[in-house]
Amino acid sequence: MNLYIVCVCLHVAALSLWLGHMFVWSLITGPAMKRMQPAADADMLRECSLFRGGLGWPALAILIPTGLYLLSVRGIMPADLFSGAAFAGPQGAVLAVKLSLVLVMIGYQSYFGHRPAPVAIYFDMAAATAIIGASVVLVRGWI
Amino acid sequence: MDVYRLTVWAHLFFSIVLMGLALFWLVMDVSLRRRFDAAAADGWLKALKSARWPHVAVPWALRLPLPWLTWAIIAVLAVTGIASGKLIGRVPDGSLWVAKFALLAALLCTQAWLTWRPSRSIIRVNFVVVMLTIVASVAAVR
Repeated sequence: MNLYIVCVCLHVAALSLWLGHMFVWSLITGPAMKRMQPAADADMLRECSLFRGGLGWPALAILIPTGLYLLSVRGIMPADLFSGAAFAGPQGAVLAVKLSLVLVMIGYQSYFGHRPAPVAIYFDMAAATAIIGASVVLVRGWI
Repeated sequence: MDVYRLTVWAHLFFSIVLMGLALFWLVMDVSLRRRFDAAAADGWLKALKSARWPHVAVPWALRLPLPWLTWAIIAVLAVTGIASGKLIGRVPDGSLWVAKFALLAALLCTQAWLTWRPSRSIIRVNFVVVMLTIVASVAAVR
């Protein structure tokens, strides 16, 4: 395996753990455990499920450097991101959408962290879902 | 997005959810064992199997227990994986692709065991197998 493949694997693994944790806790196991009986058992299990908190910052610590490396393999350097040269053309527009949404998620992570955010979490998950879509278009190309 | 990219997106999305479910069992196992002895923790894991999804809008009898929800996600992954291969007209080959299917077979075994009786060892093995399957899939298509 070369460095490129290692970085892709690390990028996807970190993404899977972070977003998987967010989707599953928010949409599946959290609500599912709420309805367990007796209620005291449900509360205890929900408390146990939250003892480690979220994975946002550790995942970002892997996603940002690996993401920058993967962009450099495509010929996009950090300076191109600041100058806007990276966002030219259809693929550039998709990259701009993806990185904007990443900034939204970092903003969410900074502001809310692991605190409950009953409404904002759905916007965060929508952003995550759109990032996955943008990534598919970037990697697989347009039609 | 066309149908091909939508199936790839769905495959990736549900892979992430599958990873999240494996992580959930791991977190619960670690957390319960910090709080209870081994026998009690196993009992709680067994009780956790009875949690059902979705928790609203669907009659109780139609709500899926957590392990069966995982089977439903695996079924969706199989459909989207086969569909994306057919839509693009080719499938990858090579040793990593063979490794992916070997890991997939292992995943089905660990999931069956997890459905039957969640335990410390199978939860850990399941987590590692899901992670390796995703990594092998990513590496195989590059």
